[in-house]
Amino acid sequence: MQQIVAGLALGSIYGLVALGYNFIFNAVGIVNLAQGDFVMLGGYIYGGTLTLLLGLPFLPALLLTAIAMAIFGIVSQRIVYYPLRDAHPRMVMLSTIALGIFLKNISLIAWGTYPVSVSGLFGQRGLRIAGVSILYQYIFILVCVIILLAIQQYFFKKTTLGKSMRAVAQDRLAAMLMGIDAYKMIAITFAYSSTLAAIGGVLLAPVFMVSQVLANVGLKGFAACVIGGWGDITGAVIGGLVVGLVEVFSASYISSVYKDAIVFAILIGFLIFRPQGILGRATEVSL
Amino acid sequence: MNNSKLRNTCLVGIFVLLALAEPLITSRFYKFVLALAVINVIMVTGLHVIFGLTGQIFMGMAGFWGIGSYILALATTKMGLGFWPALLLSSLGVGFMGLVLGIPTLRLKGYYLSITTIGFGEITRFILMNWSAVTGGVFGVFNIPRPNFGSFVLTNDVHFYYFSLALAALLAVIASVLEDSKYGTAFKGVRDDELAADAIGIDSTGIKVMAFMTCGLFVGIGAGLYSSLLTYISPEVFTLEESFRFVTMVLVGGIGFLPGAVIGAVVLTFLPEMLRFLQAWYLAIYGLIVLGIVIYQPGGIAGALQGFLERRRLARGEEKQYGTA
Repeated sequence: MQQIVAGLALGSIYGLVALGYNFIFNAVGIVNLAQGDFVMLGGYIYGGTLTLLLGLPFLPALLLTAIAMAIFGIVSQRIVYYPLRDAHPRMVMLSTIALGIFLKNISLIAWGTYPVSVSGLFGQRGLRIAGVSILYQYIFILVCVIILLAIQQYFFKKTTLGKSMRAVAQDRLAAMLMGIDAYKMIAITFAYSSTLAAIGGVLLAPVFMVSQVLANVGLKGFAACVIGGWGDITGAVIGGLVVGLVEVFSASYISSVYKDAIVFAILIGFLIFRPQGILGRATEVSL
Repeated sequence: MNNSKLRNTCLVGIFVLLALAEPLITSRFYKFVLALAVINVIMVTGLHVIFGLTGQIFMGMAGFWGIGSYILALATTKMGLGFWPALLLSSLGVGFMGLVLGIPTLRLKGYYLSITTIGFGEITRFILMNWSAVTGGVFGVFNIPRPNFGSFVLTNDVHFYYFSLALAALLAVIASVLEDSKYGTAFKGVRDDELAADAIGIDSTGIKVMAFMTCGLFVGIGAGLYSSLLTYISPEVFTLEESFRFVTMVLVGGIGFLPGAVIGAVVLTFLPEMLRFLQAWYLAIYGLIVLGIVIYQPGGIAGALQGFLERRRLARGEEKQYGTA
């Protein structure tokens, strides 16, 4: 039970990161390999600067982190994507990896080599039911992610901005002919993906400590995308939950040392045997 | 000057310069870095086949490097093999890994391939670190022998350096011959347009698997020399950052231009050591430099060189016109 809740909580964060990958992928057909580093940066801004340094309470700190990361997302797409929009996708891939290396190391300089520990709203307190204890933080993560997904659903289905973003993702040229400013929508998409990563970082900060290791969440999120099927919103969330559960269960039943290796092995297995993912709705994606 | 002639001229020049550099460097430490640079040249020649010629972003170089180093280390220290059979085993072993890893490329393209190879590299590192019974775990392997010719052992670092340089030159020749063969054309076809390559009857999957295998054979030799140079290896060096450093070497040199990759390998081996004084800032600046190259000079050194030759030719052409007018 404990493991299921922990797995689902971690998994829902991986799902958020996977959504971040998917929105950018749908909009411009590239994968932002610095997504994990965005999660790390979000965690640092929230934990290292806003909470520990400025002593802000949770909600303002969360909002400020989200805003900072949204702006950062727009700036970074201007640097790593926009100049390369007509180049081979492999160049964008390299530029996002380089951005990731820069972010990892600049964060070492800005926030130091020691991991930043944040207690979060609930510390290590948990709910005791029938002899098992479940951390409040895990429940809180699940609630937050569900609320976020509901807002997102409303945004993309009902608002004009959301509809325009979907239009650009579906057919950029047609959207531009309809008078939609496609590059603005792409910038907003990057901003939104970065915000998702930031929220992931904020929610994870109390669970793990904030350090460069947090950037590994990016690879878990990528695994979630593959397992759920690329370009599929529901798939990304399901994929995230699968990865979270696999990680928690393999840590407790097989080996905590090899848990990341097991996630990788499953990822490679999926890539080889079922590259379209569990849901398999996405038609042949040529990445 | 056509491309392969330019390449050969540049390669000869670079290897002569590397041979002359050894006596000119006086610091013992930088002599050691130079030897490491030549070993990296060997490994980057392997990566050149996959990434430079075939266009596949292979992010698992540290995995190949680690496996090769450990094969030579374990074969010589635990199995009692001599240096030469162990080096052959290391080359063949990593070549075989290339074949095994190449088979998933039957289905994988672009990002999928890169992430799979990241996974491969990380899993390799986990295994090297944690399978203590065989690999010695975090303590690594000690007392790895130097190469020998009969009873003459290359304990002298100068001898070792020229031996490595000769091997590097030999492998560069092999890579160049391969590039000029029909396989080289097929590699480049897959890089430039996989669909078109398939359409004219190139077996792009087979070509990619072959590129992976060739890379493995080369990297195995470089990795074996690495263990032998250090005589001690431990698993924590074979990281994802190192894999990306190899990719950057090719990128700095210019994708698809072997002399560029060789220069990239030398530069990126020396740069970290020379920028030590920047400490933590070094890697951040390094990230920025790579970003700058990708955006402003995607052709790397080769692109800059070709642009220069092109401009010079144009300038000459114009002079002639003025002369006749």
